[in-house]
Amino acid sequence: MSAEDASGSAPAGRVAQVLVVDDQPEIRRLLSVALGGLQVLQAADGPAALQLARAERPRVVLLDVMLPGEMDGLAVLRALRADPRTRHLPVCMLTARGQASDEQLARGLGADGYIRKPFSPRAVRAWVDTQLALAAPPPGGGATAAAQGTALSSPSNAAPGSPSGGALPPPRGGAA
Amino acid sequence: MNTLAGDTPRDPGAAPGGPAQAATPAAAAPAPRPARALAVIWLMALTLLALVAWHTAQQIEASRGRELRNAQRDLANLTRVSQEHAERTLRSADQVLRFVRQRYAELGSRLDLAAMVADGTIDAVNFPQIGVIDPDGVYALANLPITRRIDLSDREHFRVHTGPEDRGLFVSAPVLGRASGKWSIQLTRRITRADGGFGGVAVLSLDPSYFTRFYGDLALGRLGVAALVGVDGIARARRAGESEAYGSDLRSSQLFTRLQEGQAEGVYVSRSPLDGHERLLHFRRLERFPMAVAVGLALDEVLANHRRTRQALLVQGAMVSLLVLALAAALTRYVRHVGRELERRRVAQQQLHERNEQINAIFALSPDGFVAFDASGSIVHVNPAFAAMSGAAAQRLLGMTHAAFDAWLGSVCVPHARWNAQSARQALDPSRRTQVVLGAGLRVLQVRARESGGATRALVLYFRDVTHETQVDEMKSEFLSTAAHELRTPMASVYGFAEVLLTHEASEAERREYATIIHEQAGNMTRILDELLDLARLEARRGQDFAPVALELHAQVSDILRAFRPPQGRQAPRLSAPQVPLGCRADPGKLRQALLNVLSNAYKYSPQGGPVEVSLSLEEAGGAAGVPGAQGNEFGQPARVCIAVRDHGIGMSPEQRARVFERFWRADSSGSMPGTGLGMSIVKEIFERMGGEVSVESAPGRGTTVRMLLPGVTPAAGAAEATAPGG
Repeated sequence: MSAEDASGSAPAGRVAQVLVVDDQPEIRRLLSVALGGLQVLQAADGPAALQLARAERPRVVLLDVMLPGEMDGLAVLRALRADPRTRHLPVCMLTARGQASDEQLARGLGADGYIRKPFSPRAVRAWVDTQLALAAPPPGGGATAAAQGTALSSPSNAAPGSPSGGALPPPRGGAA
Repeated sequence: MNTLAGDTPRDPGAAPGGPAQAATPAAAAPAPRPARALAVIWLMALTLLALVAWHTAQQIEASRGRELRNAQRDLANLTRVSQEHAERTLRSADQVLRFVRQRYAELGSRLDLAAMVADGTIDAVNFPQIGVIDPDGVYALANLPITRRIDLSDREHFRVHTGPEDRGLFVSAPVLGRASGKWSIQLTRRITRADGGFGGVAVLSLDPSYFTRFYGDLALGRLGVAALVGVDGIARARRAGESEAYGSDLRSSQLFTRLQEGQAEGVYVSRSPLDGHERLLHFRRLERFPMAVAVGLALDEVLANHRRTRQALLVQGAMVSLLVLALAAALTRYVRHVGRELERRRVAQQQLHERNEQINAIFALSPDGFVAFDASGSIVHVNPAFAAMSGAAAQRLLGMTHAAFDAWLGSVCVPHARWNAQSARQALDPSRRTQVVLGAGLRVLQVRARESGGATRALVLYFRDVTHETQVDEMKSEFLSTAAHELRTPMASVYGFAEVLLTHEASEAERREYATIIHEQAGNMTRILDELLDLARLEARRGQDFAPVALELHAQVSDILRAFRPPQGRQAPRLSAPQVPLGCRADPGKLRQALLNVLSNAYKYSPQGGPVEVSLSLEEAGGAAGVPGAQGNEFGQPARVCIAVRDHGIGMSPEQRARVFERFWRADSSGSMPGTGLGMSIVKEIFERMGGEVSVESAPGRGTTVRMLLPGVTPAAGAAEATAPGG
């Protein structure tokens, strides 16, 4: 799996892909503006998001919790974690629900980040950059240091309680 | 909450206060009847009094009789003694007289009476004066010297003998002696000569005090009387008390009458004509002489003892009577006191009973559950509401111990809100909220407990079914978080794009795009806030701001539909209506608001497409619908107009349909459908305020029809304001 994964992310020259899942076009538009310079894949519901995640192999997923239809964001997360091809994808939940129990539930299911709406587009960008920097082989020390610094300043990024958050970077880094 | 009167059995056999009453207090005791006891007491008291009176009278009478009998016995003896004394005295005197007469006949004037007295031939002690009266009535011979001539021819004791025959001994009435100058009774006998001629009279003087002295010895008392009386009614000697009298005339006395009648002996009570004293008298006639002795005792003296006895008896009887009366009075007081006490207790018991009844009735009617424990910790009362909410028969719980109840209630609760042994103690603290959730029906019970000092209800547990409140609370917090979510979503766009505008380099076209999005999303937020405010206003104003007017429905609905903007890619709603004016009464603004809400739902819940149809019709009350020209039947009952909105969307299950008007409830709980769950609540509220009603027909997968009814108005009124149908 990790060989396949590694081969999928092999074209290093390509711009990194980010999957954005939200039923609201305005939010999808906002995120694509915020992630300017990266390739943004968009999905409006759960099945479309899973299909894109499996087909396009994005490097990071931003996932809305409240999705229309049978499949909500948590169900999508569960499906991603259950599929070996997408198990290691860094996923950040976006939600309008504010309760702490919701965040715990999401982190228990393997979410790497949890950002509440309304959010700062720069903070989301910082989180995405951090994940990309952790996953990518360091091409230049300056970029990584900048990404690390930004990541540390974002509270939404740190996931000390998450087993997946703590376990993921070393194998991915080792594979690269 | 359906545990009220309907579930409470009302059959007459059931104990008052519901079937769960453990021990009904005995029916009130019958009223005590002290009057009856008093009657018995006083009857007995009167009987006793009568007995005492009768006995006292009896005793008095007996005492009187005894005294009288004693006196009579004494009198009988006394008269016998007196009779014998008088008889003996007179016989002795007669012997002397006869001796003198015989000697005088032999000796004539030579008879020396003084010598005979001196030598004892004649007893001169008792008969001090003995003499002879010659036929001329001159006192001729005497034992005492005759100093002068004494003519006695006029004296009765001489004259009775002057007749031709011997009349025997004559005893005269006491006379004052001419010879002696003293009172004396003259006893005389005729001296008959040999030729039978009158030869004079032998006379013997007897001192009457001889008798009276004797009577004085008889001890007859101060007022006693004794007398020697001739049958002629003249007392020869009489002693009454200390006074002696001679020659008293007793012919007016009863004694005289009785002697005249020939009685030889008798006893009688009479008032003396001489001294006026009442006496008991006994008389006895002498056998040989025409005389009688009478002895009398004064009744006052005879009955003196009796009077003392009577006094004592009367005092004794009076005291006994007083005692009886006092006893009866005391008993009366006691009985009355007991009666009052019993009455007080009866009233108190009655009041207690009634209060119990009231409490039981309240317990029985209460929608809240009550379980009461007595001082020993076992259940004495379970009301029907608790039985209904817990599903356990009240009879099964009665008598259960506290521990058993804790165990039972714990077993029927869901694990996370379970009743345990500490719950009752915790429920005693009103500041803490004690809730349990029953496994059956997931009913949420709020528990309070109250301790009292009473023996019958030492601990009362109070169970309030707060399932509904809890659900409402949950729905409210659900609504709040949904509303927050609904507001956060557009807010995310507004906030995010605003930040992008501030921090990113962007072209003019991009900036316009971002600003447009911000503007639209702010509009969405405004819409949500408006809906919240609408409902709040509807609830707060309670229809005061409604201004219903008569309007023509077809034209009105056409206007509303023209202004309606269906979601992108959906066709506009189709309107169908009968070719008659549809007069109705409604507030146009509110009607518009409600109809737009329903249309919005129809599109929202038919995401797969399909037409949304709006049809208007006339609902004849009790008649055929849609008859042209008829708005109101012959009974004057107004018809109603109906707006039906039909979609071909996802529809609802019967359970969902039942909750469609509940506030904060949404058919889709995933949050994927925008909305606040207030739309249908607002619609229902608006139509009911306008006097109409709303109903929903739906089946899953086949769409939903919302029927809204409004009160109709007469064609004239309707036509007056109606614009021509069309559009």
